[in-house]
Amino acid sequence: VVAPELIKAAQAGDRDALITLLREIEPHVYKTAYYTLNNEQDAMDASQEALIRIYQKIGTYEERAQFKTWVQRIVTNICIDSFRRSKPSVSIEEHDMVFSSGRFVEDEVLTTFAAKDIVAAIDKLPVQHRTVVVLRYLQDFSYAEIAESLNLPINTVKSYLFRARQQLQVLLQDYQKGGVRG
Amino acid sequence: MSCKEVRELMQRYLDHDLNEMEQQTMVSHFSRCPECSVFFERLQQVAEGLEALPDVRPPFSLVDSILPRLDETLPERPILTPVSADKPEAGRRKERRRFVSRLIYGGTAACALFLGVFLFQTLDHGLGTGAKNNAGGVPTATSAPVVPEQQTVIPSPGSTTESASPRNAGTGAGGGGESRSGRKHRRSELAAFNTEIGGEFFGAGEE
Repeated sequence: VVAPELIKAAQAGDRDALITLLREIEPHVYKTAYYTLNNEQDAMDASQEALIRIYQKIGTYEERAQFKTWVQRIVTNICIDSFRRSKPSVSIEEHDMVFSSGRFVEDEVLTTFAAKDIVAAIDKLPVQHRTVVVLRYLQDFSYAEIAESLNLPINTVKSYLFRARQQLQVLLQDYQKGGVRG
Repeated sequence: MSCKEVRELMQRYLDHDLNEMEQQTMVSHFSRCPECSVFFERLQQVAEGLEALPDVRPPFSLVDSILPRLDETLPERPILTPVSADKPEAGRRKERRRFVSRLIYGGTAACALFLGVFLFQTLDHGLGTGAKNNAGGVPTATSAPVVPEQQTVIPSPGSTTESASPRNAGTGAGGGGESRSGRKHRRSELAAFNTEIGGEFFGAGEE
């Protein structure tokens, strides 16, 4: 959590404070960008853009919102833009994967999923679902904080998150069974 | 309680959003429904996997890498009066946009005017007095000044019939330029829209 005094000083024009603040939020900014874009170079570009924007716009931050959700809002918006620019033609429609009953009962041992499989599966999610998952799990945000960051109603956040986990679950089962990857 | 409702409880459970009662309802359902029970295990696994995702760090300090650009961004007076320091910039942009849209509308208005005059002459020559009936309520006396918006309602080659706005008239009269100016207009609308959404954050960054 960034100290309120630091934010105030940065807003008041203390450049050192502002740079310190940027250094503090850099890891959080990068983490979101990395898991949203699933690519180091894109994540760095998006993070740099986000940090510059935060630097420029720090004066417009109001205490009504939490600082961390304000920051995440800027990053996710940049990521979504970047995502749409880089994959304009691919329509990431929802794989509407419904849990087929009886399917799991016969599978036995449950092993844990490999991180790379999870990342690959996240990459398949529609971008809104992906941002919700990233904020929930990589930033540890509550429903309300995610809603504030993405400017969405809480119920929408929930439904995105629930569907995302359901979809991930199906995708990860496929990976485990040696299904097509990537 | 149906399996569907229990699935929702499971989801909320994963976000620590269940009270004692709901949790009991969910668990007692599992004892009767092995399918939900297995599904719950799977879901929990997904959640655990997500929770265990490794932290990632950029390969070098991003703040250091942007310091030179930050110096350029706000050179002299960084953010002493952040809000008002922002305004002239925003104002200028708005001004520019207004100028551009004035150009577009001015251009289309001129086209519409031209089209109107052109139609008048065509009607006069080609259709002669028939124009009187044809144009309905539109005054068609030759001495009447041009009324571009109404005139363009009369279907003419290339003009779209859906509406009589100056924009359509302009694109119609423009012939080959139709799609281009239409697209340009849409793009400027889009830019304006983007700026609105971005609102407080995204003032500066539109390409």
